[in-house]
Amino acid sequence: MNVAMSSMRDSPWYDRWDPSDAWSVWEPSAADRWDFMKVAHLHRRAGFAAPWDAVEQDANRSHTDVIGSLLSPARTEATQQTFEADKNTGQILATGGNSRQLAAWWLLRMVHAPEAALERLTLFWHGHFATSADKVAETNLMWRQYLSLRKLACGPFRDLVQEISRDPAMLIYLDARDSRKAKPNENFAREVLELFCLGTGNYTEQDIRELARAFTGGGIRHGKFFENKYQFDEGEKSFLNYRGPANREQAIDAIVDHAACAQFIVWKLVRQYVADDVPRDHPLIRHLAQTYRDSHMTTSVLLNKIWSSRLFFTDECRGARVQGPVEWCVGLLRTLRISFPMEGLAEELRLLGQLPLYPPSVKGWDGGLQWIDVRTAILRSNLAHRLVREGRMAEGSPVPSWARKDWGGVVRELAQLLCAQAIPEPILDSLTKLAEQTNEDDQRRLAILLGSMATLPEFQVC
Amino acid sequence: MMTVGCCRLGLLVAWILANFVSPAIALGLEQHADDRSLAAYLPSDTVLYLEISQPEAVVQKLVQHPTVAQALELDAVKPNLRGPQYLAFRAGLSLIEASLGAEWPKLVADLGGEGIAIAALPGENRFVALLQARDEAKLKKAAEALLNLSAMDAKNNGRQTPWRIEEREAGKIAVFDEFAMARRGKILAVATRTEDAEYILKSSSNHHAAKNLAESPDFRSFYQELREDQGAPDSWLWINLASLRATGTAPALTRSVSDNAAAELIFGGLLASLGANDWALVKLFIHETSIRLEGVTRFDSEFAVGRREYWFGANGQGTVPTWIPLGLQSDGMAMQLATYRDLGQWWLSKESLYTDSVVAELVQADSQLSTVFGGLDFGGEVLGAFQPGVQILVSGQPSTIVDESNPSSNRGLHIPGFAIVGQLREPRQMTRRFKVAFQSVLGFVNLGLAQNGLPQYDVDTRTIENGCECISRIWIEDDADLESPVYSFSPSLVIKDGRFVLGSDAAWVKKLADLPKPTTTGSDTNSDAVADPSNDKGGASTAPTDSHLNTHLNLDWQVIVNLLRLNRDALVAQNMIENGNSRETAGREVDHLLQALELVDGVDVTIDTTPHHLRTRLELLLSRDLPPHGSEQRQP
Repeated sequence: MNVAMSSMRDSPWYDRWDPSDAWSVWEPSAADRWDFMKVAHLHRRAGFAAPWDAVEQDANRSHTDVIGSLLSPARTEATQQTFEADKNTGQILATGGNSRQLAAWWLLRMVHAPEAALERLTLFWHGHFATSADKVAETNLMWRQYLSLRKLACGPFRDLVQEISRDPAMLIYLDARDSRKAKPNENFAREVLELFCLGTGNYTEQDIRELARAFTGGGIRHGKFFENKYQFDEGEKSFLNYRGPANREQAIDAIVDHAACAQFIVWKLVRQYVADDVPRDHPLIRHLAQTYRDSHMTTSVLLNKIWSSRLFFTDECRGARVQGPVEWCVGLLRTLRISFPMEGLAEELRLLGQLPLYPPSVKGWDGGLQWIDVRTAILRSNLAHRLVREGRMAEGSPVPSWARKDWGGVVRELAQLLCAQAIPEPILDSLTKLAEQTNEDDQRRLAILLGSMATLPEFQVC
Repeated sequence: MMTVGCCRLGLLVAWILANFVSPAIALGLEQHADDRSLAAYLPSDTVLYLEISQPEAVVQKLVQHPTVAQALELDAVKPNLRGPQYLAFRAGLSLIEASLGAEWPKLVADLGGEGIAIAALPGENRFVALLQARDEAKLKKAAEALLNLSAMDAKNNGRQTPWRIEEREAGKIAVFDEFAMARRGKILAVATRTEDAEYILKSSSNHHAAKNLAESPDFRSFYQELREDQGAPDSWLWINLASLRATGTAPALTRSVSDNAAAELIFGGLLASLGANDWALVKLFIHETSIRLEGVTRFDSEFAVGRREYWFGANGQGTVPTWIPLGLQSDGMAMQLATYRDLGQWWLSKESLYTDSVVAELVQADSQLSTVFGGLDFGGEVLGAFQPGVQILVSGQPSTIVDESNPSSNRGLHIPGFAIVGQLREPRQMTRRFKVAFQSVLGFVNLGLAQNGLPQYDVDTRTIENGCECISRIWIEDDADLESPVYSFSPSLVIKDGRFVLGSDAAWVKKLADLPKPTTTGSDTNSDAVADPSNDKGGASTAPTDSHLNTHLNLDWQVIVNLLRLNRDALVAQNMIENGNSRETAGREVDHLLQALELVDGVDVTIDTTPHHLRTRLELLLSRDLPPHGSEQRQP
């Protein structure tokens, strides 16, 4: 583990890349083929990993088709019906008023939904616009926020911030529903500047105070946003580069138009999809930020650029991120096609530090190396074992060698699917012996095997 | 691999069955047992004694029962009948049948033809199974064959013979790791303790003079009655309550006060009777269209004096109210409960019924509720304002408040309607009190809803002839998002001619209040006026004319299943989350469950008292006609 992590920290590999070259479109060649490993890498990064047959299938399609279908999967009548049914299910749970159950339901969607990339992006935005059900007691509002994030996830970032600025759950979470012109609440204004749009160093305390005046008068009635015009401060405001009587919408526009905004969001998306440690002001980020601006900050355009880039498919990029608990667990369940009680999984994820709908603070989850310490490493190993041992495996083979009871093959195929970096051959041999010598049924052998694999650093990164 | 596995499993089944039919070659005693009840071979302090007097008839009933045939056709069951485990079981069974030369129903008839009994004795892990064959030679042969099978199976699996023979004073006993077996004549015993098997050997000897269960006076009188009864049960369970209490395994029967307010209200009288009696009996009747359990214990009017008078009524003659006719077949009634409970008396007796902590909670509630009722004493004046008895009704029809023209309002949870019905002693004095109290409570509720930004109730109260109407409706503004919760709860109260109806649905509450007044009031209704639910349900009714129906619960299972179908999405969601299933798998499992529930048509529970007995009756009414199989065809 330490070797892998320190190599990540000590090697500024991204400095060697020219931004134009890095983000240029990758083209397969005889020497650099579109193969199983690249497809598996794409699925691990863009979605939540994929089972063996899906990866094999995509390896036979063009990489542009695969990326295109990740961003906008074909909506058949059947998938549309599934989405509507899932939406109805979520509504039922939201009406039931138990946010833990709603979190469990979202996890279930991540495991089973065909639109894995969209769910993952929604999870990213949920961490970005962090709102916790611990404070927002109304499950229905958390549910609606989820729907909003999912609906606007791929679109222009401006729409997303506009929606969030009127989102009842967010207003409750940041105490912004009682902001009156006589006493503007600065929480929301501060977080919009610091955490949602610009990042530290791009605004002043005076900007926050002025901006807070633009957000006065907002409230919630019957679970919906409403504007109390008597409590709105109509006076002239001065913040960032803006001067005028800004209302909520105009204020958000002014913030999103700020030069730092695109760079800040691109940096966060690069951390999510490329590497944990690229600095915010790195040329790679600045270059991509311009692309983002050129697309009116349309996130699907940016993601297409990232996932199609040369940088994304380099060996250096593989293993450059520590997997968060959700992507790690969901990836395991998706890859092996295991059904597991979701409320139990939600509790495990809480222990691992990432229970959806319950971010620890308005900053969301820190991510990166923060995910892993001695305690969580043990928990991950135990959880991998439990997921397989107690879960219900779908009929069929999770990997081709499974049907032949060839444990050496199973170990290597699982490593290909689940690990971004190659596991040394002696370790693969040890794992094979472990599986072969265990006197248990096949599923329990697999559980023991994955429990051991889960202690390897290669299994934690993607 | 599969074949080997099947054979091993088959042999294992054979071995297990062999264990129940005993190694006769080791127990070659020739003495014949007599025709007494199998209880004669058990000690008098036996805690539980279950007997199937006519196993052959019971097996025939089960094999030919239409519900069993329907159950085997269920989507959830059918595939399992083609699965490897079932096939292995069948293989094992066939092996045994081949060895003994008869199919299993015939084997049961031959080997247990004179009766099968299972008993629990005082002490830890002391169970005995007894079997009385018609033909001693067949029993002996069967035991030999099965013993050989068990030894052969052990040998094939590289194990030693799983039993050894111990010579005891009373005879030979085959001792296994977990149990022991003994046979004398036509009697075979399997016991978890070798000493108990030996006891059976001794007691099956005519020379053994130990005091036994069959000689206990209570048991003897009951047994005599049972033999004379034309409608003998298919199986019956004798419970020695004194022994059961002594084991400490039923603390609810030894507590003098309860720590659960609701449980006391529902089961208090029943538990008190069981706590004071020495015995209870449960009889099982299997009919083509129903399965009925009847429990009976001694009843004495002294149980109905003092603190439990609220439960039984004076002299135990409390009778269910019939303000709403029992068995009302309208409004998709899912559940009807009518019971005699004098709530005012119950509240006033709380100090003698409950633990100190429960009493403290009730006193605190008393104080708060008195505030709602304008300072009236809640127990004495509010609950005391009602005549004894309460009726609780649940309707399977979704509320009329749901906007039928808006498809989105039909999503989400479909909550059944419910209503509670009582009768005021002094309607003139209390009607206005309840009207104001209702307004106050709704006012509090509205404040809470407003604080949370939720829609509030619009309450419409008015005085009507001989009563009042308090109707509430959720106030849905024009721009309200109907996709969110389903607004199907409109608490309403109607009091008319003293009939008090509080429920969750305005229209239904009004309808219940308008039902014609019965010719007699609830408390003076005797059992003749109350529909005896056992009369038309198949099987002999044994209700004497001097019985008083204390409680009557009726569940219309089909309405409940329909309600569950309306909430299928919610059930699927629950299954998905609890089991991590995909939508398809969860849907399939829920449909299988609903299909299985359709085997039942209804449930009927009654409690009644006679001058000497307290009787409880539970009847499961079975469906005669199932819809075609395949869950897709039965979507609502």
